[in-house]
Parts: sequence; C-alpha cells; structure tokens
Amino acid sequence: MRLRSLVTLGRMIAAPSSARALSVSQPLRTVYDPKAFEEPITDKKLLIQPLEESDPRNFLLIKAMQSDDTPVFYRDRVVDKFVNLCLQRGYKEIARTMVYEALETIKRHQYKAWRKAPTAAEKSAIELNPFVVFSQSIKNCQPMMKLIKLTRGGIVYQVPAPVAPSQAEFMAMKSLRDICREKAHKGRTSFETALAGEILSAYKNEGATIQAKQEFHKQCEANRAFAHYRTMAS
Amino acid sequence: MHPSPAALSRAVFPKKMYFRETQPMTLRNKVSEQADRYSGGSACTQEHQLLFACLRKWEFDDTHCYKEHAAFMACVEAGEKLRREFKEHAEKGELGDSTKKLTSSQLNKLMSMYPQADGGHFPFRFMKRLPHMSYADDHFHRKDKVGKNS
Repeated sequence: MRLRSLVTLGRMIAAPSSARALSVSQPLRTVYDPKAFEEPITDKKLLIQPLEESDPRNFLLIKAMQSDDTPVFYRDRVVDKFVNLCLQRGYKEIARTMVYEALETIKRHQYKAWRKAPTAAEKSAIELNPFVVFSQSIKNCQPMMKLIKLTRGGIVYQVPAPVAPSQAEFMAMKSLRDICREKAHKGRTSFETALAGEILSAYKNEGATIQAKQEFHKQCEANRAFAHYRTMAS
Repeated sequence: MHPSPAALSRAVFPKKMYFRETQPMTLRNKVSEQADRYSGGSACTQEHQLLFACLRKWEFDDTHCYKEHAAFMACVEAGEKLRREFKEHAEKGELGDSTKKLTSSQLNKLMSMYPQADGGHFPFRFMKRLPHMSYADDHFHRKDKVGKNS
C-alpha cells in the first residue's frame, strides 16, 4: 500500500500534464528545527570576533552553510548573480564551473596580451582581473531604457520607459546568457568559450550582445511617439 | 350620468404634500476613500527626447550618451521622489500646504477633527418615539401585528 502511494506521488510530481507545476524555487519547510538550529556566520570579519556569552549560538546547533556563502576571496556579487541566471534545473555547481571557466579563459587571454605588450604604458592599460572585466562588460551591455506593454483600444503599444539599474543589469545578463546559449547550441562550441569571447568583446564595446543592445535601443527609438503613455502604463 | 364609484371615493380637495425629514439634512462626515494620484511632476519628455536624439546621432551607440541618460534618470528619480512623498502624506492623511487639492484621506481627517452637528444614525426615523408621543397610542400601526404591539 505504501509503495503504491509512493508511486502515485512520484507520478503526481513527474506528471507533465498536471495543471499546476510544483514550484521548487523556495523551500516550503526546512529540515532544521528552528528551536535547535541557528544561522551560520558567513561574514569573515564577524567570524574572527568572539561570541557573547549569552549568544544562543554558543548552545545551539548551526545550520550548514549555503554553497553561495562559502568565504572565498573571489566572491563577487555580479558574478554570483550571473551564475544564478545561468542555472539550469538547479545544477548550480555546473553553472558556476562554466562561468568560472570563462573567467579563467579571460584571465589567460588578458595575461597573454599583457606579456606581449612592449611598453609599460600599454601593459598598465590591460585589465588583468577577470572579475573587473566581467562587471565592466555587463555594464557595457546594460540598456538605457526598457519597453513596457500597454494595451489601449485593442492595440498593444510598446512604451519606452526608464529602467532601474538592477533591472538593466538583469537585462544585460539575460541577453548575454541567451546569446551564449545560442552560440553553444547543439555543441557548436561550449558555453564557456562563447561566454569568454562574448565578455571580452563586450569589454571592448563590440560583439553580439552590444549589437543586441543597440538593436533594442533602435526599437525603443522607433516607439518614442508612445513615450508619453508611460504614466498610464506604470 | 352618474359618477363612477372610484370618482366618488376620491377626495375633492387637491392632494396635500407634506415634507417629512426622514434623514437629517446634513452631509456625512466622510467621503469615500479613493486612490490618490499625484497629478504634478513632469513626465521627463524633454530629457527622454534628448536621449533619443543623442542615440540617433551616434547610431545607437550609447557610450556617447551617458550625460543625457544621467539627466533623464535624475529627472525620473526626482519625479519618483515627489510621488513617493505625496503617497506617504496622502496615506497618513497629513495636512500640509504642499498640495493644492485635498486628498480624500486628508478631507476625512479634517472632518473627523471638526465634525458637523449630530447627523443622526441609521435607522433614522424608523419607529422613533418622540417625547410628545404617548406609548398608549398606536403611532406605528403595529396594533394588529404579531409580537410587540406598541
């Protein structure tokens, strides 16, 4: 009986035809008893300091650290956000490895260029930190506005509107990711290689992602007549 | 020709109309709550068009248009700030001279501070016995009704 119910449950979860997919993005319950467990300290500065005597963390169990929070010196907010965006079916390790491999490729490329550079002035112009290169290319890919849809009289207008910095960052990352996935489609190239190349060209303000951004700007400009609808749309 | 029975039963004098104040003739101390919209502030059209012009000039390469973009975003941000402040004030119903027109919440606040004379409450005239009315009299025509007959 138990086996049968388990099989039914498995079918329910796996059934593609179920009306509403089971969301796994946020855990509905935790395995940690809230009375017995405390959050771990992830900040390295706080970690050095001793705990107060009355601190409950002296007596309680500590939850396992999230893999995002591991105190590594190369932690970067922009890269972490991009890793989360590249995530497929929850395989974060794979996504992270791919992005870091691309960063390594960038580092190698920049270092090679640095070694080839004849003068000190040219050497100092080359950015060797791949994290800086990455964040700068993401910045270069950010659109200046967004298009929001407004339906009036059965016609859907594309209304150009200002975009918040965080959303612009997201749009840039998504565009970059989609272009790299397209390039790596059916094993034409690997995602890492495509990403490294795309980031390096975006750093120099060229490449497919920058082109996509400019196309988007062109689309916004074509819809500039509807810009005054913005107050109605938002 | 004889008049019809209906015509005979009709009063010969013209019908008299009396005004009876069923509800007190005062306005309520409340207006319906509405979502207060901020009418002021600019849509930043000027800045937006300048940004478009710059993008067109440089063939949609935005590296030359950071200044225009910053100006546009500053305008948007200023408008958002005004809107946020207005909303905050409106929700609290705070009274100030910053706005020309009173919002519904501000109006309600004012009227709760200075309410009108007693406007009565529901049910206004339903079986209300005034001081001169005797309990013995059948004022409300409940003599033949089931239950309390006063």
